[in-house]
Amino acid sequence: MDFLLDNRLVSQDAHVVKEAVDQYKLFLPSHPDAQLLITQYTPELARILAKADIKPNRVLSVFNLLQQAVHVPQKKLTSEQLTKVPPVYSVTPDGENRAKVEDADAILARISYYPKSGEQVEKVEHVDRVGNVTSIDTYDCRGFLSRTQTFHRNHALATEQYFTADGTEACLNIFMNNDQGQLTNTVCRVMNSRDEIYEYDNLEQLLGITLDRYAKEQDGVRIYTNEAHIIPTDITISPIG
Amino acid sequence: MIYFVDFSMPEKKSGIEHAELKRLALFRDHGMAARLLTRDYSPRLHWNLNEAQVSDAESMNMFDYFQGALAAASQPLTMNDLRFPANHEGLDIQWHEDEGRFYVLQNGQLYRRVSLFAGTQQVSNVQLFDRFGNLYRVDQYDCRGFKTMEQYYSQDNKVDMERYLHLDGSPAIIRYLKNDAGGNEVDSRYTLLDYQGHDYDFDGMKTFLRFYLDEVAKHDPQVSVFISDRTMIDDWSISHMTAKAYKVLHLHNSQTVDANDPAHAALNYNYAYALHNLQDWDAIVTATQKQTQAVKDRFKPKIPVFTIPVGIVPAATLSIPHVPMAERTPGKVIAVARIANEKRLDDLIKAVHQARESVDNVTLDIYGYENSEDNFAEPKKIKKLIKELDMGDVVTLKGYVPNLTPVYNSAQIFGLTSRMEGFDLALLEAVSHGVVGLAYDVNYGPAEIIENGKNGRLVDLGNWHQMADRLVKMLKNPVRLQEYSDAAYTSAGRFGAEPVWNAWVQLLIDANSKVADKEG
Repeated sequence: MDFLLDNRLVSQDAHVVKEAVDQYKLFLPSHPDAQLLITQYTPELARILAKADIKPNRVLSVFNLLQQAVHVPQKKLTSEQLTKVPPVYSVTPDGENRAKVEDADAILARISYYPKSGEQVEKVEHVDRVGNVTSIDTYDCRGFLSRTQTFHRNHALATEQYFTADGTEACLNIFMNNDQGQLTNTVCRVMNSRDEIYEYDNLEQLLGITLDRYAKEQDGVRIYTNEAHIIPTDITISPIG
Repeated sequence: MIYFVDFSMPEKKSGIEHAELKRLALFRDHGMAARLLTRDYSPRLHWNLNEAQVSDAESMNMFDYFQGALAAASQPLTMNDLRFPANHEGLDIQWHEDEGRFYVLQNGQLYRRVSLFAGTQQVSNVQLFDRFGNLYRVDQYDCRGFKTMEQYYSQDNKVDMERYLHLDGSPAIIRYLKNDAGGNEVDSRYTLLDYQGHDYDFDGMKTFLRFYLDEVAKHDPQVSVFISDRTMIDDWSISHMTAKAYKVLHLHNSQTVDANDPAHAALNYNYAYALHNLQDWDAIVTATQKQTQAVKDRFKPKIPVFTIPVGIVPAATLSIPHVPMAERTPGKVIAVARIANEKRLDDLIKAVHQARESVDNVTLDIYGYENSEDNFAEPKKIKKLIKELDMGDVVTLKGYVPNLTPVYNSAQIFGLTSRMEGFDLALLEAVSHGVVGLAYDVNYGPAEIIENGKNGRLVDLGNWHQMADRLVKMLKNPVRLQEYSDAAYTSAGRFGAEPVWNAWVQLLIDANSKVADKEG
């Protein structure tokens, strides 16, 4: 199977997305079964594909593989359907595509909705009593909690947890400083269904292993790409055209 | 159900914890269930409870409650039981005797550090390091043998976040530690996860504790009575409960900073908030009639004030064989008090120093843990004084000793120089073992226990010269000392269990009636 790795598809810039789609169309005649491969975390991928009129089965997201979310049906998830918000808290609109969660007068969280989605929850930003963002929950546009991030005291990213659609932790990433003093993903930790722990240097390494494992189940996988930065993989990589 | 609310049950207990344990035993002996409700997370809690002979059924820790670990089975976890990542092979495990912990190396680099509970082979905590040598997490294990908490660290080695775990390893509570606008570390948020299907946020420990107490009361089929034993940590939470409950303010010490001026002196900061908001309480308990009257006179509360001694002398103690003074260590004076400023142990040391000019075999043993306040300022002061007076061979700091019965049976005099006392359990215990009390006459406990000139002596507050004189007179008159001791044994009978139990029954009757009224 051939893959065209092109993260431009999930760009926020519509022109860039169009370029990626056009290139994919040019690629297809010579590789009729080819799928687009996305290695970037994109919780709104399903919306992007629908907008670009690309069938989901033509795209493989490594994060979907990791999160066991390749085939997840669309589910409505509004703030009322965020079942974990206790009924004693109030959820009130707070501008376009936004709402806030309050207990009496204290703001506990801010909710963002996917634009033009009928208030499908995109993010919940939890705040503490001194105004710090303590954690951010990101929801996949198909309606499940996909990622939770927490932050250091200096507001830098501290941890990232990715979840499967049924809420199981897919991996936990730790962010600390490297020997140059730069914030880096220094540990990626996974627990499998047998409660065995695996630790990797970083998330990229885990994504590469995830992709390699998938490739082993297929026949003759090749990746075509012109991207300079790709995840570490054993799969043969070729430039496009 | 009646609940005694405290922060924990530490290994080294103060008078409040000892009072709670006696009260718990009293309720147990009378076939009425009572529970010790503790607030703080403590991996050693269940060992401490076990040592204090408190069963799982008699205790409810807040973290255990939400972690689903109130009655978890004990399965000691050793180094051999720890599981390291399956894809990391060839780890080099080294025991460092000097530090009492294991180092786990990967390719020569520190990967894990494993500490054990002192004196055991049980894993206490595991420190995790990343490939750049950063300590990024500490996993804390409960003494019952399961991982109970993960502490996540910041780049500058401070705790950022704590995740308290269910028994299956899933998070139950997350505590965030952040800086406020002034740069001070604060508990900025607690999140209780998936509790009965919902996530609850709390802006600090006070609101979290209130939620817990409300949950306990809501799930209690009986009338819930909450005794605020550690008022400084639980007064707001108990008084702001929304569930139906009977709330009791227990004064374990003087309510004023100058105990001997209860009518005018500033309020003891431990009780100030509660005393200024008595409308939020249903009853007050003090240990002595004198304190009850002082509270009534000053605050004119519209709620009942019950006098219930915190000291209970068990029937078995009342019938123990008496140890004559001649069989005790001659000149042995003891003090049982934590080494803290308000205990004025420097006065007692100076009194003993002066007494030695007349009686050369006087010695002083001080039993109690060292108060850590102001970087152990008071213990440092006491040690300095002992050195200055050249009393190193005379005064011995014995530390905290759980069982003092052998000490009581070999001492002759119990010295007490506190500025204030709500009661003083140790004095009563000593007196019940025939030790002669010699104390400052301060409000409220000493005069209740020492019948001046009968089973001991009271001297003026702060007058350690007078205390020294009394000490000399007692030790120079063995006949009189024996009479005091005989009277001490007898006087303990006033603190038998039944009068104390009857007083609690009166409080419970009031609770049932008041909570019934609340229910309309």
